Amino acid sequence: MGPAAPDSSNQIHDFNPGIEPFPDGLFWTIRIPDSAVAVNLGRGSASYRLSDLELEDYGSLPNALSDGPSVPAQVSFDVEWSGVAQRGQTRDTANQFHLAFVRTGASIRWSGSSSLGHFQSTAVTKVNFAQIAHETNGAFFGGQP
Amino acid sequence: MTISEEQLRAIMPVAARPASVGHAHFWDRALSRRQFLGAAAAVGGAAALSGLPMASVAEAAAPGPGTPRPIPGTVAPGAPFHIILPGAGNEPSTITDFNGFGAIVDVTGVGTGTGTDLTFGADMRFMTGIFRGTDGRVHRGSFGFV
Repeated sequence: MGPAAPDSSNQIHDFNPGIEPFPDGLFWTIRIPDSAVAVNLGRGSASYRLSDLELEDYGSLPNALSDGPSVPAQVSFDVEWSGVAQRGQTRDTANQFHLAFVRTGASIRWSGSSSLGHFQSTAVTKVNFAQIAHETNGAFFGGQP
Repeated sequence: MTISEEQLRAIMPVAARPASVGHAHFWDRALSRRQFLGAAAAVGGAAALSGLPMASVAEAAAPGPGTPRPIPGTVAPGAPFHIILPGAGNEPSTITDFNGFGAIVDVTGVGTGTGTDLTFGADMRFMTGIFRGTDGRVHRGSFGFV
């Protein structure tokens, strides 16, 4: 498979929960148990862990973003944030959000399977961006409603 | 799992076409998925949310799970997808009217499985806190972006 092609032509899996309603609804976002996540902004640590989560495998990003055919899939992952690199705040009045953030390192273990095949991560080669934050946006931007 | 600006540029004409119909889709079975999530084996510990400025509001959160709304922003001008790519100064949450904690990671890596020389990219996020739902009431919940 090698490096990802810009046009996704060599992609074999695209695991996500879909967009509801398509195309302008919640994007790849689903309710999860509170116990799946933990966050401590002060220490700069967080975790996001789920096992045997049922999603869909769209095969490729273009197919997913056009709401193309998909097959049922199961994924498990363990994402860990730790190691404080930077603390700061972002206030974006145009887009109505505020962040009190901590940039961190991160690690991830990921596996997924569907009728299209299976995948198991073995190593992270690059953390492009990792951040923990307290966020207020929309009606909560700038304080309590 | 992940979207890059380069990929978006390459596929936007495809992504903008009308939705296909008539196939089994995750959201067609949303209720059963939510039921599954209730039984999903969450490995993580309890969220450490002490000291939240939202605590007093959360105590008064409306009963019921509620349904959040997507952020107003989109991935690119004219695009329909309500998500902002990971990066400094960018909004990480995918839900609006939200007050809580979240985390985001954008990674690339390698793995094994069906095929050889496999690589992967993952944009993973979560949001946990309170939100104003589509019913106009404030609810508490956790949401994962996969």
